Amino acid sequence: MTHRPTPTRRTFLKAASAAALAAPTIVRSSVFAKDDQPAASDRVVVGSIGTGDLGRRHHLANHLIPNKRIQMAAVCDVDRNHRDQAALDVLSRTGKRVDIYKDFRDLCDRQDIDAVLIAVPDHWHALIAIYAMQSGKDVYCEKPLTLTIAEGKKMVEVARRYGAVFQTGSQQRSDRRFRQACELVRNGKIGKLQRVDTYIGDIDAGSWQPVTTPPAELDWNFWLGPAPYADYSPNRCHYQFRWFSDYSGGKMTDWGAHHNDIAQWGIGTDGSGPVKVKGEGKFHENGPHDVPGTFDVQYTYAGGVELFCHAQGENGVKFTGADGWVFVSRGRIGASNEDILKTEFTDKDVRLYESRDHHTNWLDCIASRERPICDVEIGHRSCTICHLGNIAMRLGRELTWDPVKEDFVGDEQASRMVGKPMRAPWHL
Amino acid sequence: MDTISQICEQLGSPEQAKAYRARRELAVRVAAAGAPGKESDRAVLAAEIAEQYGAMNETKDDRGRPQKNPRHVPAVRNELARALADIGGEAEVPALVGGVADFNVREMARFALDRNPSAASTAALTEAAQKSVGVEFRTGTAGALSKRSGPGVVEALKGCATDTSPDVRLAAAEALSSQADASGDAVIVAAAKELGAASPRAAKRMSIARLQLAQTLAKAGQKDAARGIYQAMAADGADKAQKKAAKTALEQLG
Repeated sequence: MTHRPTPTRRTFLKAASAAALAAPTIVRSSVFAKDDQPAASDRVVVGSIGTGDLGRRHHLANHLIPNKRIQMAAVCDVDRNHRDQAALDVLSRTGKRVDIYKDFRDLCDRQDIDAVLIAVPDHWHALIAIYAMQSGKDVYCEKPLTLTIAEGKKMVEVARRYGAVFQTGSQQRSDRRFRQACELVRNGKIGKLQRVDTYIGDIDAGSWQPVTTPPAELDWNFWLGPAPYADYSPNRCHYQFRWFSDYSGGKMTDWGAHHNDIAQWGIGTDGSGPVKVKGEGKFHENGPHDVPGTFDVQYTYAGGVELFCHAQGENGVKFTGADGWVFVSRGRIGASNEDILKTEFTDKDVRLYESRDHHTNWLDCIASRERPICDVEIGHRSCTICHLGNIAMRLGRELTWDPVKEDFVGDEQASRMVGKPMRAPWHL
Repeated sequence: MDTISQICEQLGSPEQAKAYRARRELAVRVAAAGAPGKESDRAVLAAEIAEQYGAMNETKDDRGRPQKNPRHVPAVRNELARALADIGGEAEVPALVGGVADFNVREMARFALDRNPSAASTAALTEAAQKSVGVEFRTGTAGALSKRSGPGVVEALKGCATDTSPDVRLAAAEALSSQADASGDAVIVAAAKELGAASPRAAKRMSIARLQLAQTLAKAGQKDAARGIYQAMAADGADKAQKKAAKTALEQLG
C-alpha cells in the first residue's frame, strides 16, 4: 500500500479552492474518514460560545463532544458555572481539557480555532457572530438569528465579505419530513399554493420578582451587553429572557424562527419575504413579559400566497393548496389525501437541498466551502418574518414591506424599528 | 383616559405591575399616534411626552439654596425616552439634549436621539460626541454617528479619533468606516499605528474597520479608493482574516 501524507484541513481547503476554480465539485470532508476516525489534522477545531441549557446540554453533549470530526478547543460563557460545567463535560467524556473564557472575543482571537457554535441569548447573536466571522471563523448560530432586522442585514454582509460558512440553527430544514412537505408543495402536489398556517405556541404571563443582586458566578453587566441596563432578577435571565423584548422577540421569534422558516421554504421565498403584514397580539395585562402572549399575524406575499402565524393550534405547519393540504410537525406528516405522501419524485421535479443532519451539513460545508442548508441569509430572512409580525402587532396596523430594500414603505415609525440602538460600548 | 402626566406617576409606581400597565398604555398611544396620516396627533403626543421628560421641580438643597431637579425619577424618564425614540421628531431634540446632560438618563437619551432621523438629532449627537464627558457615553455617540452622514459628522468623528481616550479613538475610527469618505482611511491607519502596537485587539479592530471602509467606498461608487485600501491590506501585515477578505474583495472589484 502506497503511503501518502495525511492532508490537513487547511491544506485540503487550499487544494479545494484551486479545484473549485476548475470544476465546482463538492467534496465532502468525510472523504478523509478512515475507519470512521478522521485524522487529527482533518478535524474542525471548535469553540463553544454560550454553554447554558441549549449550548451545553444539547449542542455540546449531543453534537460537539461525540462528533469525531470535531476537536473541542474552548468553551465560553458569562456565567462561570455554565462555562466550568461545560469544560468538565468535555474533560469527563474525552479526557481532554479545553480552555475556558468569559469574553467571546478572547476565544475568537485564537488563531487555532476554525469555527464557533453560538448558543447565547438572542440579543447577543449578531455581535458575537459578526466578531467571529471577522476573526475568520465559520459559524453555527442558534435561532432566532437576530434581535432586529438590521442585525441580520449586517450578518449577511459580513458573512459574504469574509467568506464564512454560516449555519443557522433552524434544524427542521435537516428533517426529512419538513423537506418532503416543502417538496410536495413546490411541485404542486396540493395544487396551487394558497395559504400557509404556522402554529407556534403562546406564553404565560410570568410573575414579578423583586430585583436582587446577581449571583456571584454571573457577570450580569456582560450578560446585558448591548441591551439597555436593567436591574437583575432571575426571571429576566437564563431561558426566561425570551419573553422580554430587550433580549428577544417572544414566542414569535423563538418558535416562529422554526415554522416560519419552513413556510418560507415551502413558498419558495428564501432570500425574500412578504409584502404586507398585519397582526393582533394580546399582551399580558400585568406583565412582566412584554411580548405578545397570544397572537394571529397575517402576511401576504407578492404572488398572492398568504401566511398566517398563530400562537394557538397544534404545533406545526400546514400548507393549503387548491387541491389539498399537507401538515408537518416534528415527528409527523399528514395530508388531505394519503396518496400525496406516496409521491415518488423524479429528476424533473423540484428537489430541495438535502441534509440529514444539521451539524453534519455544517461540517461538510466547512470542508467544501459551499453554503449550508440554512445559510445566514435564509436564517436572516426567516427571522425577518418574525420581526415583521412583532412590529405589526406592536404598532397595531397593516404595514407594507419592501423585501428588496428590506425596509417598510410609507411608515416612518415602523422603519425606525428595523434596528435598535445598542448600549455602549457595543455597536453593530 | 389618563393624561401623560398621570401615566408618568404610574410609571414611577413601586408596584411593578402598575408600572408595567403604564408602559403598555404609553406604547399603545405612541403606536397609534405614529401611524401615517396622524402627524398632528403625533406632534401633540410627542410634545406632551417631551414636556414631562424635561419637567423640573424647584426645590432647595441641603443648605437651603434653590435648585431644580427633574420632576420624574430616572426610571420614568428612561421610559419616556423610549417613547420618544419611537415618536420624537425635531421638536423633541432639545428635551433629549437635556437628558444627555444628566448622567442618570443619558444613555437612553442617546438611544432616543439615535432613532430620531432629524437633522437636529444628528447635530445633537455630533455635539455630544465632541463635547460630552465619559468614555462609554462618547463611544456610544460615535457609534450612533456611524449611521449618519454629512461633512459635520465626518469632521466630528475625525476630532474624536484624536481623543486622549483610546476607546473613543477606536470607536470614532470605526464609525468613520461607515462614511463614504476616503479621507477616513488615514485616520484609521493612524489609530492602528498608535494604538495597535500596545493592543493586538485594537490593531484587529482597525483592520476590520479599514476593510469596512473600503466596502463602504465601493458601494458608494468610489472604486479606486476602495481598491487602494484593499491592495494595501492584501499586501501589508493585516491579520489573516482581513487579508483574505481584502484579496477576495479585490477579485470581485475587478
